[in-house]
Amino acid sequence: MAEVLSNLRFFLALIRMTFKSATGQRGAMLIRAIFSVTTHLIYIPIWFIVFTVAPDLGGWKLEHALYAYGLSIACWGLVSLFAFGLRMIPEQIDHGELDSYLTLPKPVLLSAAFSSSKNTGLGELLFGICLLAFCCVRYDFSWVPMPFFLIMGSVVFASGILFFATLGFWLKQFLGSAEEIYFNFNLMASRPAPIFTGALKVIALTLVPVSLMSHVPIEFVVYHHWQTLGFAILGVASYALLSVSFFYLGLRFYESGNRFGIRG
Amino acid sequence: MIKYYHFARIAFGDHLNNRLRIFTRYLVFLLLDWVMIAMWDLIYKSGYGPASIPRVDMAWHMAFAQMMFFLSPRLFVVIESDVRSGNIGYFLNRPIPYLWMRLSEGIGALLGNLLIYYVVSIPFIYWMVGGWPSGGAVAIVAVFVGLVLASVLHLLFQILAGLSTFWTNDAVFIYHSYQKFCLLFGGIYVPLVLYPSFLSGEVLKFLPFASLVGNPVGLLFDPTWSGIAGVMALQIFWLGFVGVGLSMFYQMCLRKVEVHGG
Repeated sequence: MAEVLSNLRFFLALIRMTFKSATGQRGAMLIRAIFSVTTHLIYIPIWFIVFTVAPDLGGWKLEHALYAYGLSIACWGLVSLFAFGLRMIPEQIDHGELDSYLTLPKPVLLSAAFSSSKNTGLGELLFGICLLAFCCVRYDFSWVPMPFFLIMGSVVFASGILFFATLGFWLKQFLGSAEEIYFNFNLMASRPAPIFTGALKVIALTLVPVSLMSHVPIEFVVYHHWQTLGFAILGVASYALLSVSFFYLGLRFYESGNRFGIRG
Repeated sequence: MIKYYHFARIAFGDHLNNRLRIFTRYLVFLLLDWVMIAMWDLIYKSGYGPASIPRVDMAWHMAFAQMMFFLSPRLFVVIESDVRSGNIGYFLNRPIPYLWMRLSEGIGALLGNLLIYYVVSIPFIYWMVGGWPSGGAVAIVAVFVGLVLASVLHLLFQILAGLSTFWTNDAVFIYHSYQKFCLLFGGIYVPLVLYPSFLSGEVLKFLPFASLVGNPVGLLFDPTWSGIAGVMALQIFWLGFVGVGLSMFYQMCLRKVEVHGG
């Protein structure tokens, strides 16, 4: 128990430090935040066009697509802002950067994941939250589960990133491909749930669990299916556990870069 | 020209040696194709499918539209890394312009991808779609030729995004913005001909984003010689325009070079 508490304190300290470092360059952060909000605003008309052609996609309407997009982009922002290290794991493996974390008494994964930040994340997080808030006001969705869904979606997305980034232990120079996978993982989470049927649904609930990230939350917001939500929470916990275990399995294959350095 | 050929040749071989990376990327491409084809299947089943475009043609359109982003290597990542690490300084005193060296490497890797995506994708897409496009083999060949020019144009835009690192220190978010513009104005989710009046497809088709995706892939619906010539003429225009712009932008970048360490 004491170890868990100690790790939790370490985790919170890392988050604090990472956020401080990200907000250090306020000007750069503001410019990037504005840029990322503009970028994501561009994406919204695409759904207007899709739903102009087909106003109802198996029960999904524009408001559901907007909520899904808000959720996926806020999760992307949250993970980029606080756990950018997860995305960079393939590069950390290639450059032997895990060496310095292996010498620390704390879990390697905590240090590797939460030690860096990307300041575009703030703009993405704010944009996502604003879009979710817009859906709540305009379409009368409940505000209450929103923070929970943000955390749940971020855990799914972070676990997905970790799972695919771990392949870097076996595939060298994997960062480029991994970034492409993360981007498309997130993009798929904003696609309407009724598309995912048959084998595609199995994939969306297991290997690339985008359904747990956005489809289940939307189903809950609309239909209040507690049972589905309960199963989804179990699914999220299992996927997170699987990803962490996979990472530690991969770590056994880690070839040290014998990197000398001082971390402080 | 021979030195550019050798850079392209080496990049071609190097790219094809990374089999696992190619395989992973190809899986992502297939998954995205699957999702987009499923989306349009649902639209047709719900009765909203456009009468002017058969379901099979639409599915091929979606598959080819996704393909464009996967044909080119991620050149902007290489350039971003060169700029951020300061390695670009080492390339500048070589007897070959850095810009065109990277472009020839990109074209070499692109040729490797063309070999894989064009050969392997046809049976996969046919299997997912369940039929051939109504334009037949001519339509597929026309799209393939159009996608080659589109991919070179995409490489030029990637170089622009990569060189933006001089100012932004991060090319990824610039590239993602560019990608979003392509999604909206390129006709990737919905063919340009179906765009609503407030975003007229007739106007959008003259923009470079349409020359990247919507126009070449749209040849599936209109594989006539005049249609093919029109699309390619516009692509060549944008290649020239962006190429000249890139060259000027590169001169600005050279004035900003700061070599850190190395």
